[in-house]
Amino acid sequence: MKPLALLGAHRQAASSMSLAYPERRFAFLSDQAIVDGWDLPNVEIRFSEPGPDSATATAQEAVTLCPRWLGAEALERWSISSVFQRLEANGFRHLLPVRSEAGAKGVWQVKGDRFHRPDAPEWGEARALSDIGDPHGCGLVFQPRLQVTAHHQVVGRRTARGTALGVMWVHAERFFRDDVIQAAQTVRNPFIEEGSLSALEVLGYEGFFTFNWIDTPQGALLSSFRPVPRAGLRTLREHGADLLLDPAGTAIAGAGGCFVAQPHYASYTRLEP
Amino acid sequence: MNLLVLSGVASAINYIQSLAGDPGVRLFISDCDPYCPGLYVPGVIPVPLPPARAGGAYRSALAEAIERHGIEALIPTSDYDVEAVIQWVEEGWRPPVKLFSPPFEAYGRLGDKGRLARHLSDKFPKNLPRSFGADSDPGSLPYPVVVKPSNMSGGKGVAICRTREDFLSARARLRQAYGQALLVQEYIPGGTYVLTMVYGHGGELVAAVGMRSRLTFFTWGGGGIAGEVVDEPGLAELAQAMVAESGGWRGPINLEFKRHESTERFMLMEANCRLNGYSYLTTMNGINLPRIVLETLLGWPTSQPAPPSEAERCNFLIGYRETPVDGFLA
Repeated sequence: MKPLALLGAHRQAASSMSLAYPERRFAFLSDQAIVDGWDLPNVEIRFSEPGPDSATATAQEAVTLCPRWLGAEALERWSISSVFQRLEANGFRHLLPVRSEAGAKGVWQVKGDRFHRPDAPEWGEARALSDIGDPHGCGLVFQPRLQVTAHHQVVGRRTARGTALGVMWVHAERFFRDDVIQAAQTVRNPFIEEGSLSALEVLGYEGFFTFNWIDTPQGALLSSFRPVPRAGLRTLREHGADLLLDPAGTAIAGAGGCFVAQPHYASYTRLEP
Repeated sequence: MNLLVLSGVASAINYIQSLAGDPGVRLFISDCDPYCPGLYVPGVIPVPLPPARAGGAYRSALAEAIERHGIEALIPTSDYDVEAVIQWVEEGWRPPVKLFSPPFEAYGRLGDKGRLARHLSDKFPKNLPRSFGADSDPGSLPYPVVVKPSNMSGGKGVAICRTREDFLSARARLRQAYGQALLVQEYIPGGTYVLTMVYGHGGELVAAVGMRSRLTFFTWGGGGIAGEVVDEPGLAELAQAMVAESGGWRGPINLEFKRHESTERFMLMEANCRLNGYSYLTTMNGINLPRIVLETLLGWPTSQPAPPSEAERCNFLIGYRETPVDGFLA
């Protein structure tokens, strides 16, 4: 069996995938010079830039982990602003509002529109956000910063045959160049499960995905969508949601799968174009 | 030997990786975050505590933990734990443990970015970025400048401002988030270097290792997430002189610099009164700094092997690997 290509493998989800499927081989492809995974026995790592031929050039099955590998059209179609506009137009409720600029009143959170905005999150009143630029080309959206009592992340895959997903209660997340899930556990949450499945249906989406839901005084709100999977894949598989299996029907991970992201030291070889 | 390491992140990982398998050490790790990965490493005995900045509540809980677990030696590894322990010792706290007691006045300089910059600027004018008051006339600043809280750690709240408008916006935002104590400095383009040292109870230098980042946590800089050991005699000499000028030290300490890409001069960014966050790199290269710290603390004989030759050295990268746990402490 040829290696499964992971496109944009500088993301935490890459090591998560390779640890989830030790029986499979993976090719980590990234345009970053320094990528984790050189010590993983089922991984080979290569330099690759985003483009239409990233996967086909390697003539192998591929999973996109970084939206920059999706292509310009898909990046726009599956941006937060575009997804939320379509959901709202189709009567989907429970959305955290998305704006192209911070409102005149209140405190606003800055987010990457097409892909995750690197580094620590920025938030503030409109006048205190005017220096926030977009050096990474991710596009910017602004959302009200609300009091959040819990954060859930839904990671899964939808195909023509069915959907496999897991709801993770995120206890800790850290924001560096990449956003890293530090601690989470799988839970069953019918409201979030049904909301996520409904959103996928409305969007007509097929592929890997991540939804973020926040519990607020206004109830649970969908705060973002990304057309790529996040980490937690090993835990999801061990609790009944195998995202590489493509089962018919709906498979939802059982509750109780807990994980932390252990800082792991290993040596690396610098990637060159 | 019952050793309590305060905080389970960053440089504590070095203590955990280097000492958790040592049959002579029962390693206790504390943290205020019940989801801190360091608390879940096999061989570690977790000790949940309130945040170090919780004051009396933290001190009481720490004292109780020391008694309950029979702790014999104490090593703080986060900036906030160092701050708390040094303050209490200054106030007369005498726990029944071995711990380093650096000069309080020296900590007052080394532990605050702004105070350190002001203290060293006359003696080392070519090795410090120019600093400005946070309320300086925005039109007078030599952009680009860096604005950051003077008493936070972990790269929080750092803004690089290229225009007057950027500065006004960033200053407002950072003050709202972190308070009034901001440091404004000229931006230094270049790579990040660290000189990590261990000083003995008498202030004598026991060990020193230079390191360089090849990739930082943040796109603008900050702590290293990948890098290598380096031989930079000029860096070592400069860092040791700065520590001496600041009043000397006891225990582990690291000074972080940027090497100016034009002048190649080492420019001091800050001092951190602990091992640096990625110091496990040195253990990977045969220099077990946590063991050297422990031996120095306890008065045991210690030796620092020379770094391997350049050809034999290994670099490092930190990956955040999904690791199952049976449950959480919370």
